[in-house]
Amino acid sequence: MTPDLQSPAPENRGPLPPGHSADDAWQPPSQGREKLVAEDLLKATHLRPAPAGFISIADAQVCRARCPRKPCLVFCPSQVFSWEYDHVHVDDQRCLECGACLFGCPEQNIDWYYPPGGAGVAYRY
Amino acid sequence: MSEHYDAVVVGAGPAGSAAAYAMAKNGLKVALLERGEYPGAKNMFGGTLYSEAVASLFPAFWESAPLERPVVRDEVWFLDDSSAVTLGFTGLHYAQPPYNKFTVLRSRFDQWLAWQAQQAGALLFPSCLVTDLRWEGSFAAGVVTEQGDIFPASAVVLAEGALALLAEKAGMRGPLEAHSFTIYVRLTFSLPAARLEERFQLEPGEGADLVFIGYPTAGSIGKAGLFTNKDSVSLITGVYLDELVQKGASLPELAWRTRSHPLVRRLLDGAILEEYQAHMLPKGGFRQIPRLYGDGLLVAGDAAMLISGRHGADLALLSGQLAGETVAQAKAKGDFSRKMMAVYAEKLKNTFYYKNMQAAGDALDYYKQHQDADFLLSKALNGAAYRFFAERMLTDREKREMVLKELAGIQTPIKDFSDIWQGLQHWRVL
Ligand SMILES: Cc1cc2nc3c(=O)[nH]c(=O)nc-3n(C[C@H](O)[C@H](O)[C@H](O)COP(=O)(O)OP(=O)(O)OC[C@H]3O[C@@H](n4cnc5c(N)ncnc54)[C@H](O)[C@@H]3O)c2cc1C
Ligand code: SF4
Ligand code: SF4
Repeated sequence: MTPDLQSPAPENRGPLPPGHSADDAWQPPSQGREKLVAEDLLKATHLRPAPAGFISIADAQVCRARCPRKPCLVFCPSQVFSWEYDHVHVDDQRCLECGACLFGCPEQNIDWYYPPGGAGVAYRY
Repeated sequence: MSEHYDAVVVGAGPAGSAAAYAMAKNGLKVALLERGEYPGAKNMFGGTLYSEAVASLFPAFWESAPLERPVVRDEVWFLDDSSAVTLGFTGLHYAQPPYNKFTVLRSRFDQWLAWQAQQAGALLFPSCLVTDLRWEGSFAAGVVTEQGDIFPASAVVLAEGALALLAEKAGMRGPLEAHSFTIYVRLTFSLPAARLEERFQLEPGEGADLVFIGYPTAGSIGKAGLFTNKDSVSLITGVYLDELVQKGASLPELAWRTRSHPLVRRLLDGAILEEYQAHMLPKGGFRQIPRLYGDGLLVAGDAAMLISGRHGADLALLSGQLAGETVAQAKAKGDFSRKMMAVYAEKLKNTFYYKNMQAAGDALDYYKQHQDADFLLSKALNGAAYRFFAERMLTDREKREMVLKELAGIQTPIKDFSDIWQGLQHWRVL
């Protein structure tokens, strides 16, 4: 492990992560649209790919048998969880690392830990 | 195994960087470990930072820190579908040193703060995820990273933020639950400074923040707020996590509903969405403050549940500083035992924020138990205001009775001034 001895450039916004140019700015959908899914919003956020598997469902049977409401499909702010036939599908590349799934799943059935150092969200604002 | 440090700090947020700064300034050998690619990469808040607290560590910080705008205008809007009753204060003195508070972007500010610690001699390790503490008997003696690197140290400061996973692992606290948190999402839109200033009636450089009550999370305790940055505007929307789970509401939808309110939409017209973020805020209050110290171990900032009213980042800074100073004292005495570390808790107990948290106690629980209080109040206020401002062919007496009837329908906890004070505390955006 090597320490970072560089000075940030305090005058600039948090470094524009490489590969992310100002041209990536996403245009909002047409005015007046009430409903918007995380999908649309997420396009504006910079996420560094993380090795898959840092989020997983401990026991798929619990989701089927003990959790009729399946709140994770809704409370996760970036819709990491979706229902596929008979199990919760996890798209960990969309995770915003808020940690809500650790406390929001009524069955404590979600294994979540931070993605490896440097991976995942890199906020610019 | 790498070299031995006097202290390792987990997390380069305000608490961690302030702790590292205080220790490095006292000549300690400090490692500051941050899982983000740079300090601030993982952090978001509304938000505003209170000047007095930051200045107590870094006098005249406004000359060098990356700040957005000094806030001169604070408003609370009680929103209904097509109207708003507003309450506000504009103080132009707040545009002058020593200022009152600044809007800040964490991706920039946290880097500046960590750099203050680095300049004082602390070593920053970015992209470094801590997974465990290292123990020698009952003593925390360093940390272990995800890659298996070991950082041996005489003391560990946990400044890991809201989730406090290592603090829990170390037995400093029991498991947290959904009702201990509010969860927020934040939409940041770019808007050229000149247009922003015109729209919010600001002189160049001045800032404003607005809190929205009663909308969009009708029927549950949810709030929204809007903050002006230099050339962008941030809109946060949040709710208690247990409420969100019970009611089956979706935060991105609620956020977009706020954004689409006819009175909010016009403030953001033409602004371009630049970023979508999510973060939790520990709201367990005084009762859920964890054990603050152990042998070779201290907990500071959000990890210690130190949130009081609208204060959070500033308390993280102040508690981090106290933790850092305590470790420096321990180093001077060559004693890192819990007896020595207890000095931190003693000092903390005398701070204004600890006392405020203690005094607030359960008072704000009313709002937790009466989830729709904000919504009902907002509805009634707007109904009454619509009647009050409407020019009708009525006698003043008839009009007065209509307004009073509307207000009599309000079921809120407000009975006297102290209730209003509570309400004001509660309505501020956190
Ligand atoms: C929506 C919202 C609005 C807010 N508005 C305001 C406001 O207006 N004013 C205000 O004063 N406060 C506000 N707050 C509160 C404020 O953001 C927090 O109180 C403050 O950030 C706490 O600082 P901290 O240093 O304790 O934790 P954090 O700022 O969360 O920093 C913790 C750091 O530790 C790192 N970390 C965590 N775990 C590990 C690990 N295992 N290994 C390595 N690194 C790790 C994280 O990446 C992070 O950088 C708001 C919070 C939210 C969510
Ligand atoms: S909330 Fe938990 S138990 Fe329910 S479906 Fe989701 S992961 Fe499964
Ligand atoms: S941490 Fe937050 S964003 Fe990530 S999966 Fe859990 S709830 Fe979703």
